Amino acid sequence: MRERVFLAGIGGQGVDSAGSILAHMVLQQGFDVCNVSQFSPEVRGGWVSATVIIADGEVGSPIVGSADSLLLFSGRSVAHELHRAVPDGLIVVNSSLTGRVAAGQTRVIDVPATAIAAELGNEQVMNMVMLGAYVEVRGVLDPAGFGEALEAVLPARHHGHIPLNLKAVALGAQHVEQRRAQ
Amino acid sequence: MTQRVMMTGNNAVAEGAIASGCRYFCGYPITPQNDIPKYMAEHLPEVGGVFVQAESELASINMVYGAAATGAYVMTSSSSPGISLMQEGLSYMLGSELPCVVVNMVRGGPGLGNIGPAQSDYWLATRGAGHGDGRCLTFAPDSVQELHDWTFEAFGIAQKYRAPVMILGDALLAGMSEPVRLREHREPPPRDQEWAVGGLREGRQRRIVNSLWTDVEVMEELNQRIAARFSQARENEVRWEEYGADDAEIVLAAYGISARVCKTAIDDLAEDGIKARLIRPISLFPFPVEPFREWSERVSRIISVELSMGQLIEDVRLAVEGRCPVDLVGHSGGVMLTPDEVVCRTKELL
Amino acid sequence: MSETRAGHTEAEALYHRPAGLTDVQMRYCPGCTHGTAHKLIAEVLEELDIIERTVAVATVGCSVYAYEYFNTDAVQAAHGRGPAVATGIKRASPETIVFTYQGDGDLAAIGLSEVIHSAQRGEKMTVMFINNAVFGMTRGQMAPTTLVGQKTTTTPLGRDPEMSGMPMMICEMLSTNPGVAYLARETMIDPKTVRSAKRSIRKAFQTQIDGAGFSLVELISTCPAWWHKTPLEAMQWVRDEMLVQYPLGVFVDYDG
Repeated sequence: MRERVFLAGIGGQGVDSAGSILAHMVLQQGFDVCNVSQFSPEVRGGWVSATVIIADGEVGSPIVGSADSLLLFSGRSVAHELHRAVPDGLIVVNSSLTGRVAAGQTRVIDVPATAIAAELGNEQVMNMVMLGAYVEVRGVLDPAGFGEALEAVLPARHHGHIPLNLKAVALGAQHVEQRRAQ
Repeated sequence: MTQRVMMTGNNAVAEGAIASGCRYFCGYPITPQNDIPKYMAEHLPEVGGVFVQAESELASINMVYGAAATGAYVMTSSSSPGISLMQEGLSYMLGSELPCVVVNMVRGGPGLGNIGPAQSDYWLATRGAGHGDGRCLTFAPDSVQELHDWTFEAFGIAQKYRAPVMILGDALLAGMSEPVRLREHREPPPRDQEWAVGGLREGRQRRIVNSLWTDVEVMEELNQRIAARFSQARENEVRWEEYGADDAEIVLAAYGISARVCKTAIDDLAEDGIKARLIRPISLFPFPVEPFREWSERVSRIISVELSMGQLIEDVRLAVEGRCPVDLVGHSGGVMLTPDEVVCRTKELL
Repeated sequence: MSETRAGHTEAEALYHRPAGLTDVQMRYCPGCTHGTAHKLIAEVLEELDIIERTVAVATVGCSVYAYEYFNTDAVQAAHGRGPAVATGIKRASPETIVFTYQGDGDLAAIGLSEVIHSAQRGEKMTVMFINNAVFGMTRGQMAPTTLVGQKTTTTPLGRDPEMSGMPMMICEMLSTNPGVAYLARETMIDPKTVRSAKRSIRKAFQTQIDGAGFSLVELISTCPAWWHKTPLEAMQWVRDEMLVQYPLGVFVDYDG
């Protein structure tokens, strides 16, 4: 099994921390993993991406031309990164910011992640809504690992926010379930 | 066995150094290695060590020279342009027979270049320790775990050969996170080398650390001593990894991050029925001649896959001695290779 | 007279080579004050009883062989990098007394950055700065400290400020640097200035022993060879020209 996950968005959206949290969960759940974050030169407001490779053997190349799953956080990332999706791949988009995305052969899951996070009172947990939706729909990882991963990645001074982050994960997953039911 | 933790390449290097007993670090900021000095500045004081932010890479390597002269485990890290500046100090360390560890997280060049991943300092690392008749022992890890392990080991190797050891990474290895099984910390070894200066002499003969020998015969003796140590390193320190088909029809030669790309490419080629094998030099100097010699008689050709316009390929060709053709698949200037491209180019060349 | 006032007999030595120097014969030109500077430093090391815990950092220039002359551990540094090397030694071995011995080319030209930043960090080291206004070992080129109008092989018509700027005033520059604990400019052209130079050298090492910070003594020195003068003329030229450009004095004294 080799699942290549590509997350992209703009600076401040939590792309990098989403990548780290995902990578920690992968490691905890017995897989091998590699996480490559890339940034544009500007410290604020540029583009950010994270490539997380989940493997049950050696990870191999940390750089991948295409990805099995794309998590696109912003309109810009849709415009620039959609081409990375493999034909039978999965695309999770933050539809609050991207609008509807043309599917082609790939499976597109629209998640109004920013709106959901705003309802929780903190738009910053949008990244966790996205991760919750991805983990639910892909079914590779056990969502029970989120708590431990958040503890490992977030600095201790932010551990008070873990319950809110877990709520965001749950709402992301719930959104996917509801769409499935429809 | 300790649990594995997620860590970036930069942090794994820094933690490997501290675990090994390194207590002195001098460095100057340059991307993409800035997390190494950051980690050192934070964690060295916790173990009684000293971090100095130098005013330049010239100063960094000369502070390393001074600390090394006292017999301490000492390290600096930088990236390509900074390593150019350090060549002077490396030459003096080699000439004064002093050990140290230098980490180079290579970026695109020449000139100011960019901060993309590159392997274009292969020559600088394996040929250069500045001017004069010597070079750095150079090791090229291909994972975050190996960065940690090789940095840990590098200090002992540097002491054994009384020479600078270079750990050669790149911008991508520096910043990416992978699981690492951390080494247990060991105490810094006693500074009981018969050449170390400083401390309280307490009646012992005075010692001189020096690379100036105006008597040409004495200077040649020094060079013979250095050469003899390098011969010994060729006996003991050559390391490589092989990956892929035992009955391969083609060999890929790659080190560091390019080798990681090649491993995936070899798996993909196998799915298409093409049997390929990777020879990954881990020690770049001393170079693993033997596997190339052996495989050059069994395959139709060897492809050197590197993030440079043909540097590793020269060592491969020297090892192969014309027994089979050697081709280049390279990118440079910060452009990354992908497994798909390696697969395509391999099929073209086959 | 068979007895001196101090009670010595004629057979006893009244003057001996200081223990801080080896028996090696120095390779300096007649009339050059490097030898005097070496002797003063060696006497101070002996008097402060720090010979056995001192590392001398020799640099590049006429004093390149300083490691052969000082009876201490020694490290030879690349041109200009002495203070960086000394930083490494001192940080890794704080109980050691470290001093660099640098000429004006080494310190004020190629090594300016290293000396200023070592001072800036307040490194607990001592710098002996020999200023004779010329590159000696490389055969008489202009130094940053060469006087206006002074002829050198690279200023054949005399130093022209339009072409090559004004002399560099190291003590004045460093005197505003908060890391500096002791800073003085001395010369060694007669018994009085020699005694004063020794006092400053001693104070500079004491500064380091006290852990007070960075110390530097600039010694206005002679170079009869590249000044094209006799030793006596050279001493006079220091008095008449050098000291006008480079006034003597203590610039910084942490407990003064």
